[in-house]
Amino acid sequence: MKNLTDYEIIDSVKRGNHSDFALIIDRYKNKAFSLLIRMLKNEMDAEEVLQDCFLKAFKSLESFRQESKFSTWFYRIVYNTALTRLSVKKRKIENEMSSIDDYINIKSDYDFHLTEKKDLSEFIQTILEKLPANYASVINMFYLDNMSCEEIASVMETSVSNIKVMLYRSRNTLRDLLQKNNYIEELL
Amino acid sequence: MIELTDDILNKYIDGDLNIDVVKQIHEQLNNSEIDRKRLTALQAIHNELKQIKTIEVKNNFTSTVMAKLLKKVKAKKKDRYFIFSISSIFVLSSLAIIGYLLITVVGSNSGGNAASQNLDNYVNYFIRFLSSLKELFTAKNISIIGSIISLGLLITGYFFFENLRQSKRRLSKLH
Repeated sequence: MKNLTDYEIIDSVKRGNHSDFALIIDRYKNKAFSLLIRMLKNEMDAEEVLQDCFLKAFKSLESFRQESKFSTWFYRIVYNTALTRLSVKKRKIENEMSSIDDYINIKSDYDFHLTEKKDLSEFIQTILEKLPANYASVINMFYLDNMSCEEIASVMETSVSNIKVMLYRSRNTLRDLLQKNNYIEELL
Repeated sequence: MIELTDDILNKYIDGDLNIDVVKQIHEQLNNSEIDRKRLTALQAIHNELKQIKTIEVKNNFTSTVMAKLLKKVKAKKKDRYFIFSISSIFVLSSLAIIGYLLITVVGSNSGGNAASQNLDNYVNYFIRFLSSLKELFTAKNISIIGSIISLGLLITGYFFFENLRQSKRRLSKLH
């Protein structure tokens, strides 16, 4: 059963084998959870939103046309639900997305020096947790889910060039922060 | 000479540049120690990011979601059965009324009466129906009928508000 493609599982669910949806949940829960935690910065919120996302996906499975990858379709649900959650919390994520100056804000907001030197991966994790939702989403989908910029653009409903800008800015910010905290020598 | 901006270095890492530009970058990197270090740092970040870990959700997550999901499916089925049974009752009673009327008409036709007699029959039937309604709505019965209608309204109202409350709860859960 585990070798079945997403499409085969979905077909089975559509035919009435509802319990097969558990395979889809098992396949995507951790990756989607990682994305949500990095967007919402809160474990409880992330878990709650993830549950909603799977319920929404199940409910709208009939509308899934199999013209795109299931992962892209599902991540779009996850991303939009997280944005809704964020907007409810008045974090105004949509403003972040359209603002060109936000890179400067990221840099100034997270322009910190650590009092104690952490392990490098731990340090990167700390910075990732602090990245704004849209930047964290791009990094997560690009590196963890190995999605192409085109796929990420489709999920986030924005242009490919916008995604690339966010990706490059995230890397540059990370590099600058590592440089500031004397981690670069460790990397080189 | 090409100026190695962060943008170009990032594109170089992602393999988004054509061969000519790549050649120029290699030349520049051979000549500049600083640019080489910048690229190496960015490349190292790229490699570190490749190793970011998946954050795992609780073990019982799948079973929790599946339980909720199957409960919803069952509720949906229940709703469907309810609507189906209500509409069946409505259709069956409509059919019964139509059937009764047809039997009356056929019964009156089988007597071999003329069309005018048929019309008279209908008029008589209508008058009888009106008089039975009149009997039904006497001062005595009107309070009983009123009570029945009120009860019906109360039950309908209860289900309506219950439905509204559930929708609100679902909406607030979504947020």
